[in-house]
Amino acid sequence: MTLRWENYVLSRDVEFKTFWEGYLKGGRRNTLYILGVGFDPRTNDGIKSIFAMAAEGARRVIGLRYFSDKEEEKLDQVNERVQNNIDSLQTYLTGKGIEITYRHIILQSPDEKNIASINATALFGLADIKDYTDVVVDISAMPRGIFIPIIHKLLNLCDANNSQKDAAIINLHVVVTENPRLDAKIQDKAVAEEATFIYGFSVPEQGLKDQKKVWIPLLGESQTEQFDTIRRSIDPVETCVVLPFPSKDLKRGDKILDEYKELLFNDPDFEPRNILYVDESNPFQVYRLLSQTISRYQESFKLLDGCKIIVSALSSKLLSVGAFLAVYESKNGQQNIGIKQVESKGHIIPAAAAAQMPEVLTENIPMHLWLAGDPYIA
Amino acid sequence: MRVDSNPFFSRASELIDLDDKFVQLFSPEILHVFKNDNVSSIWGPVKIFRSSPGGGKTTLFKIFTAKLLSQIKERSSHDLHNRGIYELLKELNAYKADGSPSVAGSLIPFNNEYVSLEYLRINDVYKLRLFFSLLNTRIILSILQSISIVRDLKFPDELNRINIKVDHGLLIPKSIRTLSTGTEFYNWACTLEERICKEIDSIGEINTEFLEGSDNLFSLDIFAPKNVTIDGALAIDRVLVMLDDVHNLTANQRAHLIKSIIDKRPLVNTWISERLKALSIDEIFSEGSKENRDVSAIQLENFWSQRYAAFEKFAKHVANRRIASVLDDQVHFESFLSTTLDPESLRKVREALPKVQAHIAESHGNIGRYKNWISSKENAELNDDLEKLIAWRSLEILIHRDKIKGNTGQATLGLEPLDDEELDDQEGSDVRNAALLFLNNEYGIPYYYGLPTICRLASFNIEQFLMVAGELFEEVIALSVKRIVKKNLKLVVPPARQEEILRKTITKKKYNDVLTIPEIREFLDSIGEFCKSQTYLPNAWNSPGINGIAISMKERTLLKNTAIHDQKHVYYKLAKCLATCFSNNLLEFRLNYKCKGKLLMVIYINRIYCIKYNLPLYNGKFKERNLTTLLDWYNNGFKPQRLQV
Repeated sequence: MTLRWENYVLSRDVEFKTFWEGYLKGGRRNTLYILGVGFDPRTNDGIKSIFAMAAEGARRVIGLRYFSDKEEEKLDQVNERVQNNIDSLQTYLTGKGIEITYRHIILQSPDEKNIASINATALFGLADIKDYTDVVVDISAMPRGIFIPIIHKLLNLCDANNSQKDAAIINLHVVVTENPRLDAKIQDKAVAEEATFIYGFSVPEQGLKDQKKVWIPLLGESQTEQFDTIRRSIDPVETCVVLPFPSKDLKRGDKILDEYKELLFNDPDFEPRNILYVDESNPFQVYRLLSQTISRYQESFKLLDGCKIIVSALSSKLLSVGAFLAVYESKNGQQNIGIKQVESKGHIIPAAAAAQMPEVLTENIPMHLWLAGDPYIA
Repeated sequence: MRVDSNPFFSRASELIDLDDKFVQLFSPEILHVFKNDNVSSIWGPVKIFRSSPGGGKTTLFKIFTAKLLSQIKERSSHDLHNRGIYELLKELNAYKADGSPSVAGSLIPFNNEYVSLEYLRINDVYKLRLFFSLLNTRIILSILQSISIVRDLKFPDELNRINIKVDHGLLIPKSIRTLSTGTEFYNWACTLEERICKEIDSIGEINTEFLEGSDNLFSLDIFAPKNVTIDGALAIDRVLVMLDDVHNLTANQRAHLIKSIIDKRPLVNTWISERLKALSIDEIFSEGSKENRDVSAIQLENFWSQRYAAFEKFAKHVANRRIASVLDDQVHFESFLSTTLDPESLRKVREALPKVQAHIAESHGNIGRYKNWISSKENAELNDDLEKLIAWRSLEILIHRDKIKGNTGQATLGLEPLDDEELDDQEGSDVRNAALLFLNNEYGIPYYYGLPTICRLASFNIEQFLMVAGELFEEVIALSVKRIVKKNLKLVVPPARQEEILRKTITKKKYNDVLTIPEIREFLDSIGEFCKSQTYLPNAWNSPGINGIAISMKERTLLKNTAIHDQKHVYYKLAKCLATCFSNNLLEFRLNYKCKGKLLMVIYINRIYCIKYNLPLYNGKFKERNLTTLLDWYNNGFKPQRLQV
């Protein structure tokens, strides 16, 4: 089994700074920075930290704004936190003389169907990235249903471009400011009633191919409702849960299992021996373990006419990227695999948590993943 | 007894993949949905089944699939449960006289996959064409498989024995006009389906050139039983296509699908299931009825609400089947739910009794008119303290009623003493029930407990019943663990603990998701608080209490035909709020209820929310309120007023 990201480039915390300083000093780099502009206090951390470093080359920023429907887009009323982030970003970029344009993503159709991922997929084309040496996607303030299709599309565009003879290489980077404590404080306002496949990662029912379904959910805190909704929509014969270990809080995996126990232990599809443990700070390890697991399931189910594998990321963004990479590669290998999720209808930071914010934000850790471009070209 | 898993929390029965387990948990009571029809009408016009989530639509459909019909017949010879289902299905003509299935039932589930078609960046005509093409391929494949199962053909290897005579008068794509065998249809459908699936999940340009013009459900006509033969003989009596979870489509897809089916009067039996939320707001206010000679609609909760005893029997049966799936002994769920008060509740009863007696003596003891009534209670030979307490609290209610009849308390002073017989006449079960509800509110004496209560809390929705029953069964599991060290511990949940668990259940996120929308929460609270204010009047004149309101049918017409279509209409937001409450199962309604010469739309609170407002669970009484009042509640919330009693 050959893995595309067997060897990878990942930098975190102090290494993050060291990497970008060295990288930007290495020559002229035309950078396109794509970031979600939302309520998350980490929205501007990544861009401010990278663009603070001296570099040669053009810099352009595309900010993504989210609207629950067309009506909201028309009214363009945003809450205070979002407005503060927009203002802060604008001030920062104006000071640097960098241009920012905004693109809008409508999350729901008029009949309340989730269309975020299909709209996100259509957001970028080759014309947007072809003039840049580096495309940085900052997912700190992007929901999964948006950053997965965007990275998917950009990865395809970069690969298509980079495989052409004599084409200038486009590098694709993903940046995220991790803070598990902050993630735990952010709550879903409400969640969609239905689970949906992320566009581009569907597993079609395909008529009568009576293939059994294997479900691999990456578990995280406060997502039991989403877990239940997805499982009901899949009806798996086998559920292989992924828990974070090692993790900063060594008991985190056990605590999560305790939270999900009612949902896990009452059905025969879950077998405790099948739990996968992954390093909560290394998405490439998640990728590697999931790729192996997917491959093993495909092998085992061969006798039963194959199986459908569905992955659901209910965990941190970092682990979600790892899961995406595994599914992306398996899907390209013609495996019957997809990503299913339940969209949140917005997030809030409760007042009590907001008061602790300055202290919580000190735990921010910047992370960088290099997904395509120079290091992967033989 | 040691239980490791909670059978009520295992996946909903329709999702249980193993057919054996599905049948094991299937309760045939649900087939009574068809009992009101005459048998021929089941196989007549298009049927639309609607309910809130968990109403039992998919379960009902799944039992008619070819695989299960064949399996049930096979097992009916040696398994009582299967035989029971078989007999009922046979009465519905799902089996021939020789016992073989007469129906090739195909279940076509709709998932979100179809939704993305609507938002692809392609021409609207092609979106619809992709949708119908994909659906047609799936219906064709599913019917071919169902016929193979019923007729014992190896699928897909023996499909060449099936011959389909294509009626060239039908609007069908060119490429299938020349097909005739099952194998040819199978190959055609598989190829097209795979091509479509690949295209619709593509992140690049979508190619639609390969699509032939087929913007209708021709698959529902091709397989008319008269056109399908196996080795020259007619293959099957009936073909049944069950389109499940149509609510998962977009509004546009759903509208085209339903119109296409109704317009064409399909040549195969066609059933549709959808959640209430799929209905347009206009349809919601009309109970979704589009009934005519071509379509009949069944709303499952409404069906059961008119047959409470049957629902209770159904729910008990479902619960017992679930218990049987984890226990070797045959134990009824009811046996875990004690109706005998625990020592703590008995203490509360003993403390409350003298207080109630003292209160009556103090407030009414010196009124001669009630002398006989009071002494009749004093002399009553009741051994049970709770019975005594209820009797005294009932007396207090009746005295309040009598005082109101006399207009003021003072007016009753000079009247003749009332005799015991009048007391007996007035002290009906509704008054006793109201007394118990008052005691629950005043002294914490348990009211919400026992299996009948849990059945009522389900609001005629079987999934809601399973959720509530599951919460109680968790306690049974906990007791079974404790019994390892306490051998004498009984596996029964006392009433007070049952009530505590039920009150906790209503705080769960599942029941509060829609209520995160402030206007919905406040409106429901207003109705709840209004019902509470009317229920807890000292004379309990609405005994056992009210849990609903009503508007006139004229006002409902105003909401349905005018307000909901005009965003500037004064009642627009109210109409929208009501529709959201109906589609999310917070409120239920009955149309054309006759009361005092008026026709009303009665709006009940979903029974599970009745606990939140301490309301009775019985198919309760209601109070009519006009739209102006409801709008005031919507805008400002319900403000209790001093009622003239």
